[in-house]
Amino acid sequence: MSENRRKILVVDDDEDYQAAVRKILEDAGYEVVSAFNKQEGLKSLHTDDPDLLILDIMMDKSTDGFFFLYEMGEEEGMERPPVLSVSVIEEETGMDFSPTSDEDYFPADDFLSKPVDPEELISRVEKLLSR
Amino acid sequence: MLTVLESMGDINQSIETPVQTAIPRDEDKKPGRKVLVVDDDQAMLDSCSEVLEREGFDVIGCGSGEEALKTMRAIGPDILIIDLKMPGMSGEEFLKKAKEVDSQVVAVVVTGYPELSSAVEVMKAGASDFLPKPFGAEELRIVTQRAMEKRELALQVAAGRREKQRMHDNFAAMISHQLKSPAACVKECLDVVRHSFSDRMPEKCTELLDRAAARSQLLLDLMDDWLSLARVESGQLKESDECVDLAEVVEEAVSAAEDGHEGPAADVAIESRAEETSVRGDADALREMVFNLVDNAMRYTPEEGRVEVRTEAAGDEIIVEVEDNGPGIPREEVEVIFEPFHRGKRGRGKQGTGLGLAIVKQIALAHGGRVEVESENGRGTTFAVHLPAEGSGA
Repeated sequence: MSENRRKILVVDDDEDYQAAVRKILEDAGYEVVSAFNKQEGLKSLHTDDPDLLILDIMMDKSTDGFFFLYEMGEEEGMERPPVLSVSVIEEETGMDFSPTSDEDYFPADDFLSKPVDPEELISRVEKLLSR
Repeated sequence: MLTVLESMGDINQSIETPVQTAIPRDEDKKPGRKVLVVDDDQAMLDSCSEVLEREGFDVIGCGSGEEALKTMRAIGPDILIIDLKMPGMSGEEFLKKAKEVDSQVVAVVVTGYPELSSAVEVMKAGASDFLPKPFGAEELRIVTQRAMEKRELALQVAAGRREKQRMHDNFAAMISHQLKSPAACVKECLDVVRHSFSDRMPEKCTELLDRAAARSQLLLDLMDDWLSLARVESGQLKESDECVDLAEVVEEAVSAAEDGHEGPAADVAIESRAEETSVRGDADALREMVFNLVDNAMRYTPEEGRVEVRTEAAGDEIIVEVEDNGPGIPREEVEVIFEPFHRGKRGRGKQGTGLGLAIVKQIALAHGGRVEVESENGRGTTFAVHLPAEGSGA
């Protein structure tokens, strides 16, 4: 395992989805750390120090992803990794919020809707990591 | 007013020797089950309270309709026991106003036999039962118990109705999360396998996986279209009312349709024939409308064919035309193409959901516009959406 492999933290409560995303990312040469809820994710931010975060918006509660970002932003002295949010919610959902129209409330760096095309996912990840 | 002397003896007697009633009673005291007795006779209020409090009810007495209305707003009683004849506001008048405060409240009117005809009138006005004077404690108990059953049923029905409404309101969110998540996961896993293992799979295997991926994508598309139609029904389709440049919307929609199209496709040409192409409405909905038309045209036009999207102004209208030189729509189909789940038989490539044109029509209607279609068998089809121009007062 090379020393400079970039580490990606995937926060998603869907185990099956995690397995698929892990395969895509590992095939592309990334190291993957999984967290299955908000708390695990926040803990892993400290212990694993990931280079990028892939975050599901609706986990146990439909707002978990949002609060994850708020809580992450509130922590002092932490360098915040770029965030790619991935979710089935889009503008058409009839939800109270939408990541595309309420970007002020949703401080992710990029957004993709599920299912994501494997090549598209890698290209977005590369773009965020090269910033 | 109640004839106290007639009724009191009876009530007092029953209080001293409680009788087992035939109606099965919930022995647990139900907190918060409130009975409001409205009568100008204090003795009557007292005796009713005594009987009903033994039954576990909270009893509140009011001496007039005016006072009772105020109390009602403050405590929200389940049952009203109303004397028909009171000075000031009559029992009938009070009942009418009480029903405005709480339409589910159950009312029992107290009346003497000579007034039986007026009791019938009051029942028509919304009372659910009446107690003829003189009445005893047992009758009061039975009638109140019956009224309470009615109240509980009414509350359950109201709660059920609210739940149904809530389900309806949350339908879109429910579909998107409950159904889309697993479907998206299936598609994701299929895509990963197709992407990562294609060089190690027999051709037949790849082909079947491609089929499975295409069908699961169709499932996701269907859910998105359902959501759009659900929004149409709940009036959420035109959420914002802003100035939208249709020519801009066309550019965005065409590029999205081209991105989403799999495999070789007909050329799509865009032409804007007017300087001012603004309408009022919801940009997202309008983009979806044009997208559906272009996506549709690409689906039904052979790859060597041509799709033209024109934006023009005519009178007070802005018109978006989507013309293709595909196979055209048979005359007998033209009537039904805007109906949900209709699918043309001459499509190619990716399967559609059958909801695209239904959504187009609904979005156009929601914006005060209309959709026209012209088609010639074998020569192509033109869809034209007419929308009122910005500032046309339409």
